[in-house]
Order: sequence, then structure tokens, then C-alpha cells
Amino acid sequence: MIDLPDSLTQTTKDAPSCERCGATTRVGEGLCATCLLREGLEAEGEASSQIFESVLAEANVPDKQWRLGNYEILEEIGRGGMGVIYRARQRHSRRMVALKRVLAYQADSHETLARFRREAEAAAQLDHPNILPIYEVSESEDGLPFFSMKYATGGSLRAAAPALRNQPNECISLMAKIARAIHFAHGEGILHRDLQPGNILLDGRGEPFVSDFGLAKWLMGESDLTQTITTFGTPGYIAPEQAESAASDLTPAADVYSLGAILFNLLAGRPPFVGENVLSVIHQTAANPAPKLRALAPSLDRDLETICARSWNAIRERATKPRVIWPKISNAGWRAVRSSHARSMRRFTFGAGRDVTRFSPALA
Amino acid sequence: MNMELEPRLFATTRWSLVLCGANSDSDEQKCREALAELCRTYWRPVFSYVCRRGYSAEDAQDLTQDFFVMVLESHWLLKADRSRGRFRSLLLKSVQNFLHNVSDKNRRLKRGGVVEFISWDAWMAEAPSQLSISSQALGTLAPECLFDLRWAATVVEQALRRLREECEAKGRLRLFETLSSYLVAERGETSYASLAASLGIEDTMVKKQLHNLRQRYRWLVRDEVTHTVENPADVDDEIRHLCAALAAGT
Repeated sequence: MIDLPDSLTQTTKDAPSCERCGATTRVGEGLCATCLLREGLEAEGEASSQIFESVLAEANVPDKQWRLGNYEILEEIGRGGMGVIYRARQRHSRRMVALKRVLAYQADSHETLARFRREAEAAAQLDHPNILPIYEVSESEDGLPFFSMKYATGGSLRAAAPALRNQPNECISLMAKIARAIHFAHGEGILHRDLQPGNILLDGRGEPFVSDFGLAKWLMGESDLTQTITTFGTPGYIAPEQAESAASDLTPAADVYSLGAILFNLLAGRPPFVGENVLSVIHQTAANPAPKLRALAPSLDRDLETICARSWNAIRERATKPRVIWPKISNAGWRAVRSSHARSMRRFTFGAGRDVTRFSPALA
Repeated sequence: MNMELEPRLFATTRWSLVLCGANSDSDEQKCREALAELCRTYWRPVFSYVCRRGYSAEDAQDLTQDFFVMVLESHWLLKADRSRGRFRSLLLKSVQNFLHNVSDKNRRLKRGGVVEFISWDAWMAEAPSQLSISSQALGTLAPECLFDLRWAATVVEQALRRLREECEAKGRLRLFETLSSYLVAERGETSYASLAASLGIEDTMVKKQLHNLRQRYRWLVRDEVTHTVENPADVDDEIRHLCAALAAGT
């Protein structure tokens, strides 16, 4: 089955044939579109809105008015270790937003809450075309903080990754933008600390946005990163060497590591290290050499393999600037596939339209 | 079929309003609003068609927006063959002609100089859609068939959305979310007892509410289709056509 969501990415999932009509086309939460449409031929009797509302009112199942601050909550669209994500509408402007509500917040004092707000507001000051803008930081009536942000209609990179696997040039372009965003944030003194495909969102045109800068440590408390990895459920994107460090001790190198892991995942189809649990992943990184990208995707350019490898060694090399390790794809167009395997790959154009077929150090 | 429609629909559908407005200067504002409403609802079939014609997603977005600029800002209907009668048919023919005539030069000019009047993300965010079809069908369906299939799905989604909004407006969103999956279920497939326990109401009330939702949903489906035909007598035929389009996607 192919999903035709509004995002540009198509994913596949199975859907059985409808037991009534045998059709496979589904809408919404797996409802048979054909059966639903055929209902239009079955209409009979009274169906006016007045009668409908009158009968509706007989059911004693009232909704609770659900508003958070200036927002009407429309529907839950995600749930993770850090809380719940809703699609919401700003009351006065009617703008559609994503609203993230922290449920597991361990605010134990007004001072802690104030610090969270200051850091969230600092993240909200990040103004970069590939950083998801935060519109407002506030708190609900029960004192739990929430923040609203741009609603990314294209879903996350995690969902888009399978479709991008066969589009290495698109992967490179996308990661270059993310690297520039990370570099910008580091320049503003803000680390991400939990860079992973689920925190990279796409708009309707496939433009990437990094979300949740610097808020990870607040959203899971002061526990160590082993807990962090477990909480977020995606080991392999956080530097294993720092797995036993507190979140507050992370350095920019951790974000650089994550960039390499994400790139590897996009191009190879899996994270660099995989395992059943966090400890398994950590054990592999200690016991095994870093995997070579081209062992899994031989048609890719050798420099991409180097970029991934250097990203993972960023901590050892004390190389903390994304642009030091990622100069080639940060600054220039890139042909991800060697010439002998170019096939129908598009060429990149750089800047004013110059065709770049081979990286030149002068362009870095 | 004996179905009571709300009085205004016997006189006017959105499409008939658009067609009348094209003949005269009177009610031009209403005509434009009706056409804009139809376009806001049915842009997805156009987008799907353009993609299926081989354009990249990014180019398809631009072309779709350019197409609707043309529809909404030019005297589109005066140039169109309105004898086709249905908005769906006319829109398909128009986008076919549009793609045939569009040139790279024209597209660059529009992209460079015209303020985007339709926020793509705003459209998508306002009325999200999720449609799943078989990969085989997606690969083999002709663009025109995909257009009709997407149109049919839009009718269904729009009716469901309106039903949801009506329930939400009356503070019964939870009722809708619990029972909407059973709109087309056979009686034997529905566990009224478990639904009643979930909602905290009696079994008999669950049956009554489900019947009420089904009745209203059926009306909304017909209302959606009615707005796209000139003559309400064409509704059944249009629904059957759209059902066939969905069947082709299996």
C-alpha cells in the first residue's frame, strides 16, 4: 500500500481488503473509502441539521473544553518521552500550530520553572531558515509548561527516510541545511543535545527544520544520558562516549556526532550502530570499529564516508564545529554518486548556477 | 428516494451558482466565493493529477497554484466548455489544457513576480488528508483515473470532516471519535456493549447515536456531491461514477 499523505514523502504499509466490498483504498484511520462513499446512495428519511443536533444532544457524553493558553487543541498528533504534541489553532490569528506540552516535567520550584522558560525562550530566539520557529512559551493552568511552534505538514525525517534512501543528492542537500542550522545554533551558544531524525521536521515542500533545540535536558530532567536514550527510544544517534555523562555536560561534539549518524542512516538505511537496547549499542561502539558507509552503499562518494567517520570521532578530535567536519556539503553542491554510477542522478548547481561536479577545496 | 434536503440546496448548488454568475454580472461576489470554496476543497485531485503526469512534487505544487490563480482570477468559465455540466469534469479538462499550454517562461514569470496567494502549508494544515491506495494501482492508474479517485476520496473526507465539526460544535467530539469507525460497519460487527461502556451510556443510546451519525453522514456525502453538479438529479450518477473510480484503485 502507498500512502498519499499531504507530505511529499510516500511510505508503504499493508492494508487488508475491505470485508464488505473488497476495496483497499482507505482514508483517515483506515476507513474504507468505497463503503463510505456508497453511504451517499443509502440516504433516507429525515437528515436535517436540526434533527441531527437534537438527537446528538440526547447523548450525555459532553466534551471538555480543551484550550491551552491562547490555543484550541484540535487533535493529538504524537506522543513521546518528552510529552504530547497536538495540532492546535491560535485563537485570535487562527494560525495552525504544533503545540508541545510537557507532561513529565519535574518542576520542583518556581526557580526551576523560570530557568526552563529562559532556556525555552532562548531557543525561541534562534532565527534561522532551517530551525523550526517557536512562537510562544507559556504554561497551562496546572503549571506545566508548553510551547507552540510552526506546524510542519511534511512530517519528520524519520518517516521520510525510507523514501530518501534512493535519493542521495536530496539527502546531501537536506543534511547540508541541517548542518548549517546546527552551526548557527552553536554560534548562539545553544546545543541541541538530542539530534535525531524524529526532531527534524519537513514542511510541505520538503524543507527541513530542526526542532526542540536545547530543551531535551529540561524535558527529561537531570538524569544521565543512558536514561535519555531509553526515554527517547532511538539509540545510535547520541554519542556513546557520552552515554554516561549528564545532559548538562554535553558539548557541541555530541551534535556533530548525531549529524554523522543521521547522514549514515539516510544513505545506508540504518543507524551506524544498532542493537536491542542502549547497552547493546554502547557495547558495539566500544567493541567494534565504526562501520564504513560504502560497505553498505558502495556507489556513494568516498568523501561522504569520511564525513560520517569524522563526525563520530568528533569527540575524540575535539572538533566541535559542524562546518569543520562538514565543509564540503555545507558550502557547495555535491554529487553524491561517483561518475561511473551516475545513472540518472541530477547534478547539483551551486550558488549562481555553476555546475559543481567535483568538490574543489577553494569552494569550502 | 425520499430525502429531505435543506431548502437552499433545491435552489442553488455552489456549482450552479458559479455557472449562473458566469452568465451575468449579478451576484458576482457570490459566484467568486462559491468558486473559491470549490477550489479550496478540490485542489488535491488537481495536485495528484499533475504529479501523475510526471512532474516533480515541487513543480506540481507550483503548477497547481498557478492553475488555481488562472481559475480564480481570469474569466475561466467564459472560455470553458460548460456543457460538460459537472465541476469535476470541467476542472479535469481545464487542468489538462492548462498543462498543455503552460510554458517554462510563463511559470518563471509567475513564480518570480506574483505574491503566493495560496499558502501551501496553510491549505495542508487546515484540512489534513490521509489516503492509502495499493501500490499497484498507483503505478498503473492513468492520471485521469487518479484524479477521479482523489476526487472521490476528497468527497468522503470532506463529509467526515463536516460531521466531525458538527459534533465538535455541539460538544460531542468524543462521541464522534468513538463511533465514526462504525459508520459503515454491519450490525453484527458492532459491539454496542463495549462502545456503551467506553462512552458511559446505554447500549440503546449507542445504537440511536450511531444511526443518527450515519443518517447525517449520508446527507453530508450527498451534499458534497450536490455542490459539484449543476442539477441535483445528477447526484446519484456522480456518486456511482466516483465509486467506480475508487474500485479502480483496488
